[in-house]
Amino acid sequence: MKIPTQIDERTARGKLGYLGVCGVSKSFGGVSALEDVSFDIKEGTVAALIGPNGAGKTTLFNCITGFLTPDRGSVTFAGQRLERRSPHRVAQAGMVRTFQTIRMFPGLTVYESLLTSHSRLGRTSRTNVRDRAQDVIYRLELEEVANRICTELPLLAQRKIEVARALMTEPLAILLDEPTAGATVGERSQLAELVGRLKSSGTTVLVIEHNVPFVMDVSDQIVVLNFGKLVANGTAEQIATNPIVQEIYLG
Amino acid sequence: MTYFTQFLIDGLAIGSLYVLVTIGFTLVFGVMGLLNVAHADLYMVAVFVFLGVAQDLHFGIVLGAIAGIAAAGLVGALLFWQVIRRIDRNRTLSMFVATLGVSYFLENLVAKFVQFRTEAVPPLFQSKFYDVSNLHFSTGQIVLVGSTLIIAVGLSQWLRRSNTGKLMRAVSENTHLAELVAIDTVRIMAIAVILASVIAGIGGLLVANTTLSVNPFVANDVSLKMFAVAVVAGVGSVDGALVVGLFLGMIESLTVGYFGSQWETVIGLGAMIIVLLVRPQGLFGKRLRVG
Amino acid sequence: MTPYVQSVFTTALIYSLVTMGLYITLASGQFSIAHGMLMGIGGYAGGIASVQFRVPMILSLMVGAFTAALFGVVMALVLRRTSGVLLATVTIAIGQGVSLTAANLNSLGGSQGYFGIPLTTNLAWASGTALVGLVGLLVFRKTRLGLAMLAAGRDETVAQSIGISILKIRIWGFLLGGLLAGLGGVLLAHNNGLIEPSDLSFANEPLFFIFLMVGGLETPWGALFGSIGVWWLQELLRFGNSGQFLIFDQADRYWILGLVMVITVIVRPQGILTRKPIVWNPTRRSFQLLGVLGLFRGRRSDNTS
Ligand SMILES: Nc1ncnc2c1ncn2[C@@H]1O[C@H](COP(=O)(O)OP(=O)(O)O)[C@@H](O)[C@H]1O
Ligand SMILES: [Mg+2]
Repeated sequence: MKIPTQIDERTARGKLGYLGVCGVSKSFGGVSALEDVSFDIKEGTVAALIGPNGAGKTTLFNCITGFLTPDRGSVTFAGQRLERRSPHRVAQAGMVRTFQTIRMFPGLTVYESLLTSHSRLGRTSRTNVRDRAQDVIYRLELEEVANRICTELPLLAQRKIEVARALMTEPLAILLDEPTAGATVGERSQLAELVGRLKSSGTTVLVIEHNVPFVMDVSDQIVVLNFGKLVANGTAEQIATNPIVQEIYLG
Repeated sequence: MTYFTQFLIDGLAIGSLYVLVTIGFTLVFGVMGLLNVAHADLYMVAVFVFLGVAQDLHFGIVLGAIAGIAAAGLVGALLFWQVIRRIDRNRTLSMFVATLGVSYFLENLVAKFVQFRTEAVPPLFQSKFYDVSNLHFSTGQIVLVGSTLIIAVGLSQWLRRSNTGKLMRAVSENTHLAELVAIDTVRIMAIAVILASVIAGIGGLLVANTTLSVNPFVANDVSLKMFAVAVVAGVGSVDGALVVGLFLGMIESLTVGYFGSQWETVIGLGAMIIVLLVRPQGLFGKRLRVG
Repeated sequence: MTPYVQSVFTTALIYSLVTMGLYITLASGQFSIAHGMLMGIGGYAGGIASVQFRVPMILSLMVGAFTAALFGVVMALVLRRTSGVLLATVTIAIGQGVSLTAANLNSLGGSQGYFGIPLTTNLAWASGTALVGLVGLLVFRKTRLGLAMLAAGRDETVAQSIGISILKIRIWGFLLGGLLAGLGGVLLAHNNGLIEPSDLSFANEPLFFIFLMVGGLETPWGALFGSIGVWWLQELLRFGNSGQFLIFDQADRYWILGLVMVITVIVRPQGILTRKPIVWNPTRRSFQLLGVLGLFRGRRSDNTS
């Protein structure tokens, strides 16, 4: 198993959708939530981020997407450095995320929630926001609920709306924070299929997940965090046979 | 030098008013995130009830004072149970607007009864005036400053030591977590609001005892200072309100004394804006946890 | 229309502009409540333009709106690290402070106010300006920025995560709020012939909130109809010439308004008029001009076609 510590900036540049995390550390008043975490994800692949509760997965998302500034380390994406950017500029660079606790815009319909999104491409986007919303509604099969108030919909629909909202920005990469939390088996397979479709459309996906079959099913790469440290990084087979990971999950 | 000391003494009395009004406001803000615009009105309600009971109904000063303080507490309780509790806690705007409405209601209701006039207030006790090496001060001022210190330090100690006080601080830190560990947050909030109202009532009587007048819309001016003190101290910080309130009173008194009254409001406002730029959580406030 | 009816409508329409300003600032998620102050600043600026430079009314309006908007933007920038209830606290204090400062500035007429402003405002000016404000807001809501405001006003964190700059939204919220309040201020100054420091003070703020909360805080129509409706209610509570009705007299109308406000917030927190959602209709083409002026559409949950 190889843990990349240095990212070659030249290969990163120009490869849209490539995400490089290098030496990221973050502590909250002495408590270290992330320590020197490094990995990279190739464009157009699906990576899963796993680890026990409190391992620092959400904190890592926050550091990548600008909601927190890492104490040390860099985040490279689409040839740009993101670690000091504000969240909206990270989104404009093409990386969007969802939240662990679902957050809907209260009082807005699904369609309206979609219309609010700014495209990464800004005014130069070839599609007008209404056409883009229509497209996303069809892609995520939200036709039935498009004119309903988001907060009144069932959990699965809300998860889909989170993804739909993210897709409205025409992202290069999308980060999903525990999308299957609270989902039934059937819903989980629907979400797995959704991740597959995102991948086939060329979007890079990084997903935080607890469910092992789901992870094995969707991901090309698995990154394991424990107590803020990266303990493993590799393909599903490599991770499944990794003794350290087995110890964390079984012992 | 004599002038300087005299201004400081007068400033302490003014600062005491700020402290007495702000500590309750800041406590409620900390415990339930409520911007209670009607808070300073309780000060006015207490004084007018005192006036009515002591003077118009001839029940005397003591009963009047008790009635005034009780009225402030009662209005606070009504505000909590009849208004705040009926509004969805997550609708911050609605909560604010409701207290704004209550404030407008109270001020104009009282104003109607007193024909929109400023009323003279009888002193709680006969103040003696002292002249020590050219410095003037009165027993009224001493009692005001002394009571302020006792109330503020007492409240702060109570928050630290007593069980209810500790719970109140826990709710203030994190309401959601407090609920998860089965703290009766509603009871704590009710206690905070009523306690704050009573303190505002006591403050009203003590201050009216030195200013000897009150008008229904006095809260508009008092609120400005209350907000400034709360923000500079860090909203939610009772200790901070004590320090900053007294300090602001003295600075204002010095400024007005040396430079003229047009600068009075500029000080509090300027301090507030500078603090917000440099340290948005206030001098004594903790940085809010995000996420 | 009798002159009395005209004058009541004129005042209500002037206030409706300030209330529209309050609406748009609140809609952008900015808990700023210094619209009385912004109105007053517009009034002083427009009044000075008319008196000192004898400019026509239309220019006075522009000067007042621009000055108030500028002041709003400066506030947005200075307070950019402050939000929520704290922002509300600070804006109240600023409004109050500016009002007291104006009272001490002799060049602005001190506590007597700024006198001698020509009485140009009439029903035509008031309704014309209010119409411009209303249509402007209705169009703005459908723009990219207006839609982004819909999001930022509800959840700033999510809005940021989908590429919306909160600072930009905030600046626009303060700018448009200042613009509209400033217009109202110029009209008010040219209606009364003077503008006073007390016009800027926080004491007026409850009035604008009553208008907006009763009318409906999710739509500019709420600001318009709330102002007209509540202002007329207030006029009716003067009880005509006698000034008496049962045990009430005209001095009672203020606390009654306060009570109306509290009850509205408890019973119908969104106000009487509600926002009409933008409906997705796959069979029709996207942009519909008529929809821009869309009005009341029954209860929220009925809109689930
Ligand atoms: N804003 C914050 N302030 C203080 N501590 C935090 C903050 N966010 C997360 N933490 C702490 O960092 C650690 C990692 O949390 P998190 O990233 O949410 O874990 P995960 O998502 O893997 O379950 C936890 O111990 C948590 O308490
Ligand atoms: Mg997490």
